[in-house]
Amino acid sequence: MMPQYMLLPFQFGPINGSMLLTNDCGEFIILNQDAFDSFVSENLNTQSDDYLNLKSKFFLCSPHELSSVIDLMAIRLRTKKAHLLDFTALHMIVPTIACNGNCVYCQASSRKDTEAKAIMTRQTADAVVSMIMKSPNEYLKIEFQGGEPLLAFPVVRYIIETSFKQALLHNKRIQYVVCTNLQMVTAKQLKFFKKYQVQISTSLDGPKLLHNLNRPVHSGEDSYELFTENLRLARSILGNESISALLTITRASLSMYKEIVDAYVDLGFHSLFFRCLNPFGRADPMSSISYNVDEFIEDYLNALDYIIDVNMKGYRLVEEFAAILLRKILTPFSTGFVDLQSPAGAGISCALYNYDGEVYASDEGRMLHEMGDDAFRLGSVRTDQYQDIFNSASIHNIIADSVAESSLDCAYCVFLPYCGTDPVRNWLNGKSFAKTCCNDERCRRLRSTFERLFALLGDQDAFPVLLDWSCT
Amino acid sequence: MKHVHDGFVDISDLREANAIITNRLDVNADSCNLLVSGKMFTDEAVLLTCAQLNSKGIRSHVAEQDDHVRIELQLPSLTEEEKKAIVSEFMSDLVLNQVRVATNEQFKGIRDTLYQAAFLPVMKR
Repeated sequence: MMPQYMLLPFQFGPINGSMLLTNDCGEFIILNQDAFDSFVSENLNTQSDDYLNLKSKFFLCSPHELSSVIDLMAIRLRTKKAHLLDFTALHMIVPTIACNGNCVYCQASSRKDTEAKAIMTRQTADAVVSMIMKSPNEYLKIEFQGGEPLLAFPVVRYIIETSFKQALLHNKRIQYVVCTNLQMVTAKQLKFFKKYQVQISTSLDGPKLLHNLNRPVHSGEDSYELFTENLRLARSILGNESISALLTITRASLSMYKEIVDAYVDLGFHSLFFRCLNPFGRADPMSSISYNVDEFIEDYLNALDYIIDVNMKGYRLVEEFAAILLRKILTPFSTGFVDLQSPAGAGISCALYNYDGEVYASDEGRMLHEMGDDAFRLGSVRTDQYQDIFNSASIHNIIADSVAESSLDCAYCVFLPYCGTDPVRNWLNGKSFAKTCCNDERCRRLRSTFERLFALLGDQDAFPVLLDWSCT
Repeated sequence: MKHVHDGFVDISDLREANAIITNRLDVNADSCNLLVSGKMFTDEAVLLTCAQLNSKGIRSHVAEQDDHVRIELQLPSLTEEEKKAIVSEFMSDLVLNQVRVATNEQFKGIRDTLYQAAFLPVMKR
């Protein structure tokens, strides 16, 4: 007898004693072992809830429906991969690598402001803006990173004014972000940012003691006091919603998640982003501030539970990394988060322009350059044309090798539809853009987070919080 | 012990095999030998499982004999618990990979059509 249904492509893996199934459309369903066995052996009762749920989520279809079902799935898949369609949206600019901060984990290889004179020239800035305008994407984000961008404020101002004008000519819309430690921001600068609706991304590592320990400044002043004072000033001019913060976890931060979260609440933040150390610059994995990935995972998952608890008690606080994953899991849409895409976002979703006009496929690619490795250098705005950089063999190689669907380790992973490989990490691990090492630290961190989130999605109390985060 | 042949544990019956490995795994041995019936598991599923294990740093040696596949998992410098966990994981992964390999064969054509339907219209744009 002909089977009454056929299977459509899916990944699966055990989770909490059941079987989690996901597919290319980003849908998921959890079945018990018996239902899973019946499903894959094509013996599922076609009147059962499992059958109907699987059918509505494109895990199965009647053979005669295949053609129309594929058309529907194609729309869903295209929506999930929409970040590929318009090409590079995020353009990061490092106007200077000079910095007034002296963070213990500095990944950007910044230099003391009195030592580093390297600031982007107007000529280079013009070439950078011209290059950005050639991106086919209508919606662009220009993000200033450092060093401390405000040490090169005249260049930042020049780029914003110039790109704003050019965007009108090129029919583009630009969102601006300045990543700053806020230590030296002035009211005049903030009023300029308000005029151009510039968002501020800053760093708060937790309560005063921890923040000062992790993020001291070269001047020896109280980093936390300067931060909170200027945060108040920035909010009074820009409004609370224009300023977000993230934190980096060091060994000193481990187990302090409650104090860290409370510090964010006390300062009136409604989002935070727990980041582990990136193995660049001073954040050498062997350094005294480092830890192993299992320690981070334990700390992060505890923090996640605590943050959800804070939300359930009535204070809205979004953990941004979890929110990104939840958007991927619970909504049909693509996210702009370039670190978790397949193929990787390097070059095709983001690019970084250094103060000297050199272009890198990502900010981590530039960090690697500071460590003496130019694997992710794409060219220079001073000597190369747009096609030379963004249609280069380098980009083609990075992209071809970073398709998670073609990696042995990822191809069968149940979290594949929500994940992606990181070619810079792969390069660090094995001098290959492709993922050659299974179950590496990044993979373990992501898997643990996905597993916890899927477990929490089944928790009636936590679900409304997670659903809310996914909609931000 | 009908499930042990020449030092190889027959994992055709996974529950029995698990019991044997739990009770009889030689903690001093540098390897664990498993015997797989070709009727139960395809070569592709065995090789995929070994490849996944290899990328986690566990080497294996696979040899075909009659209707069986002999797998030698190299487990030096591991504790007894670690060895048992790896062998147990290998067996459960093998079961899952058998399903993965079987379904993937069916999915190849559908995936080709799906990706073309999703992206060819955009590429032509």
